[in-house]
Amino acid sequence: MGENLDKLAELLIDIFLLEPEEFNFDLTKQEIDTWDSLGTVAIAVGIQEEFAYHFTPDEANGLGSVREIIELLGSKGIDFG
Amino acid sequence: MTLAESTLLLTIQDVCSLPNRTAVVLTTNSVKEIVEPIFEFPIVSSPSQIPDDANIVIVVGGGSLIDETKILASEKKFHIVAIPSIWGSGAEVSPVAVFTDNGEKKFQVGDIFRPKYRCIIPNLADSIPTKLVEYGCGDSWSHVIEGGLSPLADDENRKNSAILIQEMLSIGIIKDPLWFDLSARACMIQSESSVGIIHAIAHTLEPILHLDGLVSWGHAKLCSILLWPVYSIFLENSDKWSNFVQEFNIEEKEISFTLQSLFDEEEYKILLNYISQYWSEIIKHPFTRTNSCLVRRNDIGRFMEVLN
Repeated sequence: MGENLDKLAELLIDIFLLEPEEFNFDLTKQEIDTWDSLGTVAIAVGIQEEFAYHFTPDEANGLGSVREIIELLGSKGIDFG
Repeated sequence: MTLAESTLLLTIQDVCSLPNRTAVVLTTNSVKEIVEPIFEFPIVSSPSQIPDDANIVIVVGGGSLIDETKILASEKKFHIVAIPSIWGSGAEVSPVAVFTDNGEKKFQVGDIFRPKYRCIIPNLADSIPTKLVEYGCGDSWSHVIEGGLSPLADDENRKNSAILIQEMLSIGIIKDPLWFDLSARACMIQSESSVGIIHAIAHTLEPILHLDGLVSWGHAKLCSILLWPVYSIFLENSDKWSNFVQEFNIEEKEISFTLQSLFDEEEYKILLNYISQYWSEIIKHPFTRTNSCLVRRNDIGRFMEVLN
C-alpha cells in the first residue's frame, strides 16, 4: 500500500474512532456512525494537517465515502499510487 | 451576532429603574452585603424562593446560579438580568445552561437560555478570592483560544478573538473588574464557534473528580491548569497557532508567559492520572472533535511529555 494510503487509513481510523480491523477503503458515510457533522469537521482538520489540503465546506460536506476522499485528494495532486 | 445584539448591557442605574412590583433579586450570601445596598427590590437566596408573579429576576452570582436561573426562566417565562459575581463562565451571555443530573454534567443549548440583559457591578470583583481570580481568567482564556482557533470559527470570530487576546494580555491575570466584560466577550466567541479538548477534558473529568472527593476541581480550575499543556502541545505540533499570531501581529511569547503563569505542575500531575485513565472517553467527546487541531489516540503521550 502507498505511503499516502497508509497515512490516510491511520488518519481516518483516528477521526472516526474505529478499530483498525473495522477500516477498509470501501467504507461509505452510511457505514460509519461517527461520520456525522462533527466527523466532517474533523476530516477537514485532519486532511489539512496530514496532506496540507484545505477542503472547502462544500467539498467536505459532499464527501460520501473513503474512495471519494481519495479521488478528491488525487484530483488536487496528492498521489495515492 | 454581536454581543450587544444578543445580550444588552444595562447600567446599574438602568436596573435600579425597573418597576419594583415585578422584579426580584436572587443572590447568594457571599455577595449579599455588596448587592443589598444597590437595589430596592426584594431579595431571595435560592431559585425556589422566586415568587410566581415575578417578571424579572436580577440574578447575581456565579455561573451555576445563573445557569440554574436560566433553566427556571425558560419554564416560568420570566426575564433575567444576569450579573456575574465572578468572571470566567460567561453564563450571563451564553446560550448554554449547564446542569448536573445524577452526577453527570449535562447542558442545554438554545437562544431561550441566553439572558436578554446583563449588568456589571464592578465592586463584586472585591469579593473574589485570589485563586478564583486566576481560575476565572484561565476559563476566559480557554474560551478565547479554543473559540477563536476552532475549525468552526469564521473570519469575524478569529478577528474578535485576536482583538480580545490583545486586551487580555494588556490587563494581565489580576483582579480587575474589566475582566467581567472580557469574560463575556470570550464566552460569546466560543458560543459562536465551539470549544475544544480543554473543555472536553473539563466536562469529562469534573464529575469524576468530585465523586472522588476532589471537590476543589471546578470547571474554571480545570481549564486554567489545562491551558498551558494543551497550548504547548499544539503549538509544537500544529502551525495553526503560529499562523494566527503572525496574521494578527500578536506576541506569542506574551501568551506563553501568561498561560504558563496559570500552570501548576503538582495539580497537573493529579489531573494527568485521570486524563490517562479516561482518555478513551475524552477523545470521543464532541468538544474534542471540534478542537483546533486534530486530537489523535496516541496524543495522550504528549500530555505526559509536558512534564519533561
